[in-house]
Amino acid sequence: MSTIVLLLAFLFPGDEAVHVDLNTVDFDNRVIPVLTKAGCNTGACHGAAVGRGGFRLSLYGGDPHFDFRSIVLELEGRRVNLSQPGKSLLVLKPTESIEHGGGTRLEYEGTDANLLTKWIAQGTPRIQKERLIEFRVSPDVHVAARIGAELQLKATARFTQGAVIDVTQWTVFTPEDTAAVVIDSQTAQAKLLRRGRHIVVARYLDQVVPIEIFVPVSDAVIDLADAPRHNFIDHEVLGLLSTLRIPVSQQANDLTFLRRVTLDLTGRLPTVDAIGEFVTASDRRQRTELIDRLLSSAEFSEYWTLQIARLLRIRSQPQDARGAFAYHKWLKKQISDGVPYDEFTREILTATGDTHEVGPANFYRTVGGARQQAEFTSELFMGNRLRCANCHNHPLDRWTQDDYHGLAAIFAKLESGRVIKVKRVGEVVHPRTGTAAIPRIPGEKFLDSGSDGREAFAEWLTSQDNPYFAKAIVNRLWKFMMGRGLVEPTDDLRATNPATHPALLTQLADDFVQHRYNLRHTLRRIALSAAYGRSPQMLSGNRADKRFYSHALRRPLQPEVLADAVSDITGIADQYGDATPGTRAVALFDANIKSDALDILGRCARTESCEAADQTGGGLTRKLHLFNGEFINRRNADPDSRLGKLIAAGRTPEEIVKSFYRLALSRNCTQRELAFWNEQVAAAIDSEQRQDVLEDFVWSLLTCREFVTNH
Amino acid sequence: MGLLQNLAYSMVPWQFAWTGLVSCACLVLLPVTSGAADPPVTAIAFAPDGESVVLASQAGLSVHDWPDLNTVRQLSTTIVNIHDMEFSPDGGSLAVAGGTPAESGKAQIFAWPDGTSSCELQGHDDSVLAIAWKDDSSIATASLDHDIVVWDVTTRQPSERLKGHSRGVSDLCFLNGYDLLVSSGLDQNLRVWKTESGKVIRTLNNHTKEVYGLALRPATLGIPMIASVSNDRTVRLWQPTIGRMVRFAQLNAIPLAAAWLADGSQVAVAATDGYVRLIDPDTVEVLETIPAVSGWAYSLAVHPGDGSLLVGGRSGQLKRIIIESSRR
Repeated sequence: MSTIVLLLAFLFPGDEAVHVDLNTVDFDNRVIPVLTKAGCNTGACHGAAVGRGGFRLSLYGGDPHFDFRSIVLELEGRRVNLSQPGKSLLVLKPTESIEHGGGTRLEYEGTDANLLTKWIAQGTPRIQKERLIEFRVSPDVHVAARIGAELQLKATARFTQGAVIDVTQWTVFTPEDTAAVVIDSQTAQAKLLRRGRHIVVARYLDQVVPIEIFVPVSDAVIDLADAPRHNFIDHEVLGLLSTLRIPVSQQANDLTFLRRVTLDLTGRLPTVDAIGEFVTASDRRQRTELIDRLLSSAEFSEYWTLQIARLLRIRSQPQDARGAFAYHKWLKKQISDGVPYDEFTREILTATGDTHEVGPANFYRTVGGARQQAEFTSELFMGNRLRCANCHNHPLDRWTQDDYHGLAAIFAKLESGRVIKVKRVGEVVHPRTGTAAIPRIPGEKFLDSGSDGREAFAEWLTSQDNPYFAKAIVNRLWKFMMGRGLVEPTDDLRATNPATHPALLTQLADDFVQHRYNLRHTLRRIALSAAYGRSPQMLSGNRADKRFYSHALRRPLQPEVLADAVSDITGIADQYGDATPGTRAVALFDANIKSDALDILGRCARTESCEAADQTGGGLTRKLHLFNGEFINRRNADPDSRLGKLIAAGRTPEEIVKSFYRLALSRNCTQRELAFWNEQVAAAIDSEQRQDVLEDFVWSLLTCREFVTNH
Repeated sequence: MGLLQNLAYSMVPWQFAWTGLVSCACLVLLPVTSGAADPPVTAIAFAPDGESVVLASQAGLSVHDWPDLNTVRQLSTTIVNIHDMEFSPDGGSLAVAGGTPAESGKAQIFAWPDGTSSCELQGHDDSVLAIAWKDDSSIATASLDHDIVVWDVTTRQPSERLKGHSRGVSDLCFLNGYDLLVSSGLDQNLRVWKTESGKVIRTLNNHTKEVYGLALRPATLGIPMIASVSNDRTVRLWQPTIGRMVRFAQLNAIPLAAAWLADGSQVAVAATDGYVRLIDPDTVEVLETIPAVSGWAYSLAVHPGDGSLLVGGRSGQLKRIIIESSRR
């Protein structure tokens, strides 16, 4: 009766030959999905790194070989009973026929439990009749008509033998926000409980795909046809806002725009002269000219050297600042000269030599060890967290342990003291095999173990069709300018963490590549968009929006920028370690240079990624020091300060107030503000008290939200 | 002339094709069930007179004549999964250990040679993985419930419960002249216990993964030596009385069971690749790598008379390996 189909099945090394017929249960494609669907191999259960209750499975079934070993072979095969299959631990535990910490996961004598029993009765063969080549969900994008709507999800899988099978029953659907989307695990029926954009991750075997669901924020349709559209960015941003029915704020006024773009491109406040020039004319061409002028300025190079230095985590080594100096100097030249991002990335990745002389070679002194280097490199240049694949195949991405340890093996050949050089030997042990990992370009191919694989890796990484490199950097540039990445976190680009605007990310990346990886070009593209130029003033309909760019987001000034701004406004420069007096904080080459001011403002030490630190704005410490500390008060009281000099020069309080408003907030003070400060000054009984009031005035300006944020 | 000799047993065709790679092999498929696949042979114990061998699997206990391995009889047991067996020092009893996974662990004592069940020792919450006689009236069981229990066989009552391993206890052996018990655990440690007090006197923690088994070197001059096998792919040699790890051999497969040749000159190790390796304890050199079974080789025993190795593996596989007399 049975048809022998042995040749059509995949057998695995070390397994005995088995008779395979159409009824033989396919371990990889049938048994594993049962365990995944039941939640047995999640991180909270047996998929944890140390397993649970002495039983360990690979996370989400990512390693069937390991799972087979755990289930069938370990502990003398105690988890399966070949003589009495129904008495197997593998069946008794999940059906809670005996005590099970995880409760009832499978129905007793239900379809899934019976499948496990059948497989055991067949002698626990390890076969894979065919391989999964495509997993799809339907719908993959859905716009709901209203809150409370229901949606039937469906999943199909295509295998090597051509069959397309409905695998909805075996697919795990996991909403990103379980309060927003509730899914019946038996029927795959989703109910949408919150407005906004929601992601559901669908998992079958080793594949995961996202489902995007939109529930409009308002029931009333909005018309954004008249909203300004300056380039492709606006088409994408407004398209999604229309879908979500979120209104857009007006364009920011000229002075707000001037302050914003000047801070973003140069890390400085606009000068009084710049303000005067900008307000005389107001049209788009003037904004374009301003942006171009800022992009070509020396201040841009200085400031964007800092930004890339933060990404590269440039900092001095213990008792050795010369490497950081060389690295920073080299980087500044790349930025000043407009060297394409791919070119200087290649130079970084392939660098060798004395780190005191060869700046980019310091890249290999940034983190310790080959594995950390692989993590750092992938997060920085690919925007991908390979680190998850250290212990197990990445549960939400394509990365395997071979990829992680293979990339680490490339860096293992480097000797990373002061002089970076390639060693003849050097390896990392693959934890699964216990042997040396083979160098590998992640997700692509293995490399010759004997050679320096960095050249091949750099070539692959910076090739035009690399799917990660350009997206990783344009997403960071977008975040820098807009306050939120299209993908967050910026080092976690993956299919299951899709961009809020996937097409926009792709277009930005393509545009970046087409313009020869020119950082200035992409920054210019973003700065010229109407999305960038929007006002921070919110409307009632977009107040809750933090992700779709319906209004400008307020962003805390980076510690270095704030420190320089306070120095500029007060007229008293800070001293940073042994740097040349007058050196601006944004120009410092060493993130570890002694500076109480930068410490209290919450500078990033660059021992880890600085991107998370940017979100916090320095926290409570920074606020307390701004309010009560010496950081501002000491300078205000200095007779050589800007305030002291203005008073000494006989300027009236009103002139002083107006002057500081322009300097600090890049705008004129309002009549109401002016009247308030005049009233305060008038209440002073003598010149000493009047000076106190003016010091308080400057203090209040430098601590107000309008000053300490870019908006 | 090779060091190994071979005997041929009847083989089903596909097994023959496999073993054809190793001309010196003698392999049998133990017909223990009528199902689609036979369970693995998890324990082997040679009768003291060497005339027969007892084999254990999920299918139960069977006695086979030696060296032909014809089934002589079945022993009726209440243990679902059997993991270990050992004959008493006087040869009058066979202790069998195992349990019902995740529910209970127990030992059953059979009178030998008649094979009648004389008593059951119940007191574990999970399967017993190992059993060892201290003397003819005292025995210890090691369980996945993390405990070791020392039993008075006469009263069938536990005399001591030794707690210390943080995970399941995988194997045991007594150093009787020293009043010591050595245990190995899935917590990566070996522990040395004072049997009289039941206290741990030292923990040997060089293994980096689970320790699966122990084998006490037959009495030789000098300090007692134990071999341990671990998921970290090492075989480590210890002098537990002084707490010293003497040396270790690194293998390219995971060793699962170990047994010393009768003269203590070599330790044989069965591994997940189905091979048996003979290791020189003085140099930790692997002297021979012998194909034994397909897949994991779980059990291993040395014949008390002719020095043969008998290896048990998946699907009821058994292999006899004859060691040349000069190497025994």
